[in-house]
Amino acid sequence: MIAIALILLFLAGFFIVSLISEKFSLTERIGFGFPVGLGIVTFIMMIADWFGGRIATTNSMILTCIVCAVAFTIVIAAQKKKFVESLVPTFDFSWFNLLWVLLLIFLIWVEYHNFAKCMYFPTYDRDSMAGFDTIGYLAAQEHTYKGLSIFTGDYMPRMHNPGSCISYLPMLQFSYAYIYSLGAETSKAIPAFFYLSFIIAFYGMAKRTMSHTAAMFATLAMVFTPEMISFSSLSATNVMQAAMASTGLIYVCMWCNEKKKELLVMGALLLAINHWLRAEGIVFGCTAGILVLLQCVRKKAAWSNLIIPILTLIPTITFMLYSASCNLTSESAIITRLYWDAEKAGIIYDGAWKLLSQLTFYGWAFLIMLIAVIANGYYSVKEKDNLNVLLAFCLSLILYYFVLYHVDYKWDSINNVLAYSAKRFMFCYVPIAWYYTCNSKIVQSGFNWIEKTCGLK
Amino acid sequence: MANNTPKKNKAHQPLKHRKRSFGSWFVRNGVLLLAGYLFLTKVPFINPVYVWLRDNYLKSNMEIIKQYPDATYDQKMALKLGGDYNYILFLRDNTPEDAVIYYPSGGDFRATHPAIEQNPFNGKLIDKLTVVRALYPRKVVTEEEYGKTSWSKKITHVAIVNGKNRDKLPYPVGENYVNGVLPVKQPVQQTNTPKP
Repeated sequence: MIAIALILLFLAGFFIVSLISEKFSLTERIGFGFPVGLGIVTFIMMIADWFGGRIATTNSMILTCIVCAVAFTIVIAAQKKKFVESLVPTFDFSWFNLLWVLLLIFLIWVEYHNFAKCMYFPTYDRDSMAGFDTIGYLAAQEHTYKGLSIFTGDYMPRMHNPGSCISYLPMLQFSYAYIYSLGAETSKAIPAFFYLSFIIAFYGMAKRTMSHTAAMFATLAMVFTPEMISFSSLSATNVMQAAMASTGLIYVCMWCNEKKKELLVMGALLLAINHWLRAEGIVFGCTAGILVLLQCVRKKAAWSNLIIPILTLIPTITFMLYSASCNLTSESAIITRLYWDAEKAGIIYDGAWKLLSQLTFYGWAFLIMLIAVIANGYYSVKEKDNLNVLLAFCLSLILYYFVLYHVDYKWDSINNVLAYSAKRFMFCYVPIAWYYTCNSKIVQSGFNWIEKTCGLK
Repeated sequence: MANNTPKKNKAHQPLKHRKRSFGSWFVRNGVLLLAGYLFLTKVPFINPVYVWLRDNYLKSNMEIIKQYPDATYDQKMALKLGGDYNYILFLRDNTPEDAVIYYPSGGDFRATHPAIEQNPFNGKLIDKLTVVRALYPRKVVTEEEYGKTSWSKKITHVAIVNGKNRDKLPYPVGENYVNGVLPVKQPVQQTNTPKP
């Protein structure tokens, strides 16, 4: 039952991505299938819960089947033969070299160990036990999310305090409720398959703009990031958000270069799922909006394109309405007025700098990116090479710390947040850093030379 | 200008078609493979965190998996959470499903007791939400809720750690009762210390 549900989720996402465009490669569609399917199904689960639907085995399966069938019907109706033709892989191995194989072997070795660890151990990390996993488990047991016993003030008096898990965006909680409702003993299949999908998706996405070997190197380097991979086997939202936010933003950057509609729509869909995962993910949606706005102003792109990044807010707005109507709100921790607190700003600046400049949590990622930025300086200035990605990286980083600055830390200190939580926030920048590095012209030329010298033709 | 040019063109510049023998391809790729292997197995590990990642995170966890392939859910949880999880299991196994349990505070878990040389708890399960799932459908009441919520007036069992909370029971409990759980009404027997 669980295996069938996971396959159906994947197929639903596969058809939805295909629906955006049949031009997406099989790797991209296979990679994004599961996260997209899960995002859509859990969003509908919330709507169903809002109107009194029960979280139960039969309902979960029926919902997944309906989403899958509807997506399939629409994609067949809209694309007809093109869809079937797009499923046939193209074979061009002129680039094939043994370095690519070696990188792939390393990648499989790393992910095999990580996947096994993720699936073997149940949820034991504190944040998930005190939030995502427990809520998902209880929702499956009590067949409701909005009516959960732990959301009642009498049983959990602190549930409506600032920073409480009641106000977390519920994609992951619904995902866990989904898998528990199907009888799973643990919810770890969700993070395990999400991360595996992300790896495939990242490679497929990177391959659009760089050579196969460079894409494989970027993927391996990204996966082999110490803190990020170790968190990927836990049940928290951070790595999943990193997956959706980074790929979403990169697709928007690709749209800035190529102006292909499907890239913008895909980026927006992924950013919407990122919003559906974590509230502060909105900084990536804002970044995408600014990038699109710049294209409208400077490159005369159609202003109607701006609607697409705005639509990424649908999950957030819907959840706000749902939580308000179901009394799932907590005391706000956001400072909504503009203010200046030099001490707080200084602490945040120091914290951000410490995170980005140390080599422990993210390994070489940011240092190598900095070297790539400097080395690629000539092409950045002369040909504007990779500038949109660099802009997206910097802009979203500034916005992220701006959001941290505007949080009123009633439940914790800013120092604690920077020391323990903010390191997880930075995961979103690791895939972007490696993408930037391997997509910069100077690195590309190295990999192109390898493929030219050692390829099959 | 270049910014609007599809990057695909840049990345996939048409490769010059040259006839290359398999031997030539093999030699070139052999050198490339060797260089790649040396690079990948040496360079990242200049940074010790990658050594931790390879040896501690990836390999060590796999060794545990191979060592205990048939471990149950509870055994795996105990492996990660230690004595605290064993204590939760003890609570679960010694209370009915409709129990309302007074759960010890963080201070209780960290307290010392003269009868016990080393505190068996590590404080990983001191938050109410972290134990709600394992004890479900039992209800949990914490120190700060005690006497304030309606559930705290329905407590049926008191969890005792490091000898703390014996005073929450309406009957006297011997000082040798250090860790365990006792019903509020009529103690049939005092189950003694679990083995975390």
